Amino acid sequence: MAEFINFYLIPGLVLGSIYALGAIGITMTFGILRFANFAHGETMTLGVYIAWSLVQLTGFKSMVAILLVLMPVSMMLTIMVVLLIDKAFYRPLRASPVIILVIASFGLMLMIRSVTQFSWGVQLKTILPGIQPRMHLFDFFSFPLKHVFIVGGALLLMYAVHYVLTYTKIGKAMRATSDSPELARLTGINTEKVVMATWVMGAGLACAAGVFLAVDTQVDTMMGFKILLPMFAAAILGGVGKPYGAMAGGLVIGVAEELSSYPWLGDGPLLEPGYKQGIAFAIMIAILVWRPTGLFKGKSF
Amino acid sequence: MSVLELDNVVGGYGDTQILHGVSLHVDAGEIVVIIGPNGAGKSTAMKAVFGLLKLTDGAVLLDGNTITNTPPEKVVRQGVCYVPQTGNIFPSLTVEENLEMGAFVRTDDFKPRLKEIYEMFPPLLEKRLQPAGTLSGGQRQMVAMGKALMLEPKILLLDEPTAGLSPKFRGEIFETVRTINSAGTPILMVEQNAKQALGIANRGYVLVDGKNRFEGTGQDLLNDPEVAEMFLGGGKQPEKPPAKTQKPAAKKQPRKSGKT
Repeated sequence: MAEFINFYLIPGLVLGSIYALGAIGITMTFGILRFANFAHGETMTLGVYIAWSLVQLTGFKSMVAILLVLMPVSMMLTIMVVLLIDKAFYRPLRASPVIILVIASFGLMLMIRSVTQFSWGVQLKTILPGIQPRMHLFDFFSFPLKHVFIVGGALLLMYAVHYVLTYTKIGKAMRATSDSPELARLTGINTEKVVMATWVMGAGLACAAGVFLAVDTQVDTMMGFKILLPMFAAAILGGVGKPYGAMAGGLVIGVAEELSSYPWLGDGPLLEPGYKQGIAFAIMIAILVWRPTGLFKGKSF
Repeated sequence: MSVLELDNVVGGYGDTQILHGVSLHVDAGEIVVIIGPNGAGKSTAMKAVFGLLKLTDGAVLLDGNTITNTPPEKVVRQGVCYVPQTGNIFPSLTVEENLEMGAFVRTDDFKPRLKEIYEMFPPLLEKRLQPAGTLSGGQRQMVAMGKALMLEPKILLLDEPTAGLSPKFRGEIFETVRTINSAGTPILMVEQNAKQALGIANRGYVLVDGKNRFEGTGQDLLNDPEVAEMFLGGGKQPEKPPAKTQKPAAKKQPRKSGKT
């Protein structure tokens, strides 16, 4: 039991929190700007490299300093870059058919990745070096302290998203625009502002998710792309356009991926860990076939 | 001076010309109804006011000022509110949030207005924390109209507010329209249920093929034998196919709206 929780469930929750944060951006972009943003993973990678550079620059090496000081700064920088990208690439295409936007985001994905690789190199880096302390609870549970920070930080950010969407004018306008962009415009909602708010939220959360992932594992130019599929799966599972769905979907997929290699039957893992990502893919296909609107009744296509 | 005036407007979507010269006006305190066969350009005429299609000729005047081809988000700020036939509420937002969104362009305190709206539509107060999408058709129309009224508009445009509603709700909606109007808001309304609509209207226009055909007071049109024969007689004929002809116009709209 302890093994199950320490080595499968907790890592699942950690991974799930990271997916959830990333999926919120994907689902909001889909809901409000109406396209699947392939560059979202790269936004995440970029955020991580910005954070990594800040760590080198400032010499802050402790987890607390990284997460409480450098991460918010990197989030802001990432947001600025993404807003510039929106201005340069997406705004001129705002009225174009969706497929043009999807292709544009695909192009941006390649561009951002190349710039990242060119600027920072392709070798693996670590953002949080050294052996990290573990926490022990009731001599039974044991997990790295960083996991507490990751899950706690993710929950805090998700609460912030909830707060913005429920209690602020711009948040309500975001939900309204996601419901119906046409009506939002007829109502006089400033849709450009809503679009900006969407990028701010998406990019900020993507950077945070990336930094959490980097703290948990390592820094790699492909890291964002590698988790793009599970993030899409989370958004689809939750219901496209539904931020709470994305949160739930992210957690479910993260936990499902980790639990898939638990020795449910006999001694060996049920599924070799190498196939973990297949789980997200399988869930995505199943949802698309049987319940395309997802858990939270999102848009279906 | 009229609150709203369309002066011989010509236009359509892309290459398709729909309006070939429509003129109408709405004066302070009036309910004006546009009727006509399918594809006559009734809804299109209304969308023309709201900047949802490109006018190539003619003018739209609000309080005497030209607003021809002004985009919707700006027309709203000038005090024109438009309730489309379908998709006129935000289904996942609560009733109250829908009304708040209606007041989006207001910078002052809209709370007193919110109270007035609830007084005008008591069922909405009861359901204010429910997602608007869970309401009945009639109540959704109330949300849609209430949302539009949050701005205290100079004029309210209603596109077939009773479409798809049962006769019972239809009566309720017409009653509501009258209530809104008696509170001082002039209304321009497109309606399929011509008889009932003309019954509450001060004046009416009959459009055919994108042009004015008849105009007169509600009673005059109801009594006019030609109008009666065309639209009021059997009543069934013009009522059935609308779904078909209305569709293309409705489909165009989201594409257009994408362009900000």
